[in-house]
Amino acid sequence: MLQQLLNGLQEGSFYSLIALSVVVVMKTTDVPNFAMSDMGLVAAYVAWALWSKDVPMGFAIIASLVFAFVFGAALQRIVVYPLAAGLAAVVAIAVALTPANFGIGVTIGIIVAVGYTFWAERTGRRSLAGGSHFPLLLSTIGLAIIIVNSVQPIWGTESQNFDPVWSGKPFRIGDAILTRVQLVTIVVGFVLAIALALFFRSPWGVRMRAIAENRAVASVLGISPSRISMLAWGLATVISAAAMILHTQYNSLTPTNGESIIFAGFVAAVIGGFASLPAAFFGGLMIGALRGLTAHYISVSWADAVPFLVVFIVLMLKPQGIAARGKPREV
Amino acid sequence: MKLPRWSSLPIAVRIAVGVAFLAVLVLVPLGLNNYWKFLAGLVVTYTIANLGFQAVVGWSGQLAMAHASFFGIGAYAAGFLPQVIEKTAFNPETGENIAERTWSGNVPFLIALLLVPPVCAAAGYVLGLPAIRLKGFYLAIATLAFAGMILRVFVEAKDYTRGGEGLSVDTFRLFGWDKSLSSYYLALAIAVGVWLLMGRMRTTRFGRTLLAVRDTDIAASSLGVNVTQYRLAAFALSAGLAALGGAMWGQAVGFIAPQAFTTALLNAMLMMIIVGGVGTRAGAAIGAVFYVALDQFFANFPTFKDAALKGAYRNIAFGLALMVCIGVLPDGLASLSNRLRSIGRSSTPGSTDPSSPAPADRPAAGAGVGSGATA
Repeated sequence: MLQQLLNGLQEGSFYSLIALSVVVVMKTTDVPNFAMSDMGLVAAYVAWALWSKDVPMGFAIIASLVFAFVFGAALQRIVVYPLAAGLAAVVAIAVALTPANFGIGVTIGIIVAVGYTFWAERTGRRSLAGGSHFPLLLSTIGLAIIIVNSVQPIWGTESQNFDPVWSGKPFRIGDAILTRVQLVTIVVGFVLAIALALFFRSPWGVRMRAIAENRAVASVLGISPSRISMLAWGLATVISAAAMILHTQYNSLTPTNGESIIFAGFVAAVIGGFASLPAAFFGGLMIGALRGLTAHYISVSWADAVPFLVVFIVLMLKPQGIAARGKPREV
Repeated sequence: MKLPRWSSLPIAVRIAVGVAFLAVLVLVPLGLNNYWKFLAGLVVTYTIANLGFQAVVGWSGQLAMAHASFFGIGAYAAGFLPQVIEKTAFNPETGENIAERTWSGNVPFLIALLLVPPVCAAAGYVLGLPAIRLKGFYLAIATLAFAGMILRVFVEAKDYTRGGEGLSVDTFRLFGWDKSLSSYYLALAIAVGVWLLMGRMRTTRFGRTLLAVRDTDIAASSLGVNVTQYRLAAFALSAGLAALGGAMWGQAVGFIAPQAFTTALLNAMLMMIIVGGVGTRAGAAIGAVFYVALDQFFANFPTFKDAALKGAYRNIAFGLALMVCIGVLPDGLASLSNRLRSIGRSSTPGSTDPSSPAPADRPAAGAGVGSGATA
């Protein structure tokens, strides 16, 4: 039983971290981001690509987290100016027609596209930022489709593995075995959750909450919504990248890793009403633990149904989230 | 050049154009080979399902994400009801595998086709009862949860669906025609019926009230409109039409497996109605043509070195179409003719800028992504 619980908590840590990144994006920019885990997956691939070119693992991970920050900030621009995605594609195809490879084409395409979004902002073109959820939701769904399918041409379809720095002898707790990977996963989850909670009390964190509350008033007070939005997305992508890098130790690196956990991440975020970081975090752990126990005592296919049942129950009983306080989000 | 508005044309002209268009649709497959007939059939079946999606997403502004599931339920139900389904079981006494009959329905296909949509509409209504209290993307998440569970049912209910093995569907042959011709004409007849019905609904009380509920639900309820019942009705209508489209899709394709009804299909359906044009009938059909055409373009594109990547490039194209469309054409391809007309009429270039307020003469049916759902 303890063993199943530990395995479940490891799995739950991925959901928790994805939930945290979803909540950070939702709290600050009010975007339901269905591409969140896929964005982190790209960073995990970057870490793997560096490692496979003999870069030391620790350095590869740090470099990929830095990449995740920049990547997340760039994609925030593209999501609110979705036309830029088309521009990125045109540039990527043009570059790919030369001997340069697809990955370089995509990189240049994204840079040009982000440049376009700044131009579009200066010239007052319509952006989706701060608008209704529906176009933003569609925009992130489109982005998720593009990211998942771009991974294949760039890094291949076969699953990849890499050795973490933290591998070593497992610990024993009674009959149960706690691997180092499991310990690191659970601890990293906790640490990031606490760090995020502290961050939202810092001046930058307060600015983030301010633009979520009221974009217009915040910008009158000298807070730049577009800069804060990029910061929030960069931060969220770093968290998501941490989750996806840890996930490669649980299940090897494949293009579908992101899809498999984004829904459970959203369910955990629903538990926290898309506002409470601790509730989202513990919600993720709870879903993981429930899944682990269900897989052992009932069946694996029922374990897959756990997140669906949980979200149904939560939304029917307390749609504003278990830990909703203060002004509830309209559901 | 000034193009006349479609709705301002005399009714006789509109009927004449409609009949001519229908004649083309009826005659076209006679000159096509089987593969093209199959593709035409796919377009028609997707159109039926898309029309249902328009009712719930476009008209009532609800992000009901269980559409692909109802499509799958329709495909499976119309597929297994007329069949005998056996599974092989191991007999420990004789040590042989024996075929065990798990379903011997033998319901005639046409009866199944009549039964399935109302039953699915009722199921949609029941799903709607708890889900309807949620708005915006909370509803999206709840219905996605439902979709995930239905997918598990497809895999687990092996006695009826054959699970992951997939189910071969007996194609119904209308008047003894060959398979692709029969399924095309049957689907076309249904699509035309649904098309006319939806047009009628949109301009009468039901459709207008739904738009009012979408845009200003509080005002509508203060006028005595039962907002919940209208939302539920849209839900049920869309579920029924999705099942009908799915049933005909099963006929066209001939083989159904659970992996056909994942979020990939849902994403494709969303892409179809957004790129086609949210809330319009034409958008449902244009989106279906766009989807099948793009799919075939990538399937037959000869220059890709790696065949395994064709699917990836195709999906990237779908994602890009979705994003670019939200960025530049929030009312979809169906709004292009209005755009062209407004260029022809006014000399100010600003009138085509998406940031300018919607022109007053824009058809009310054009819901647009921007105004689509309450969030």
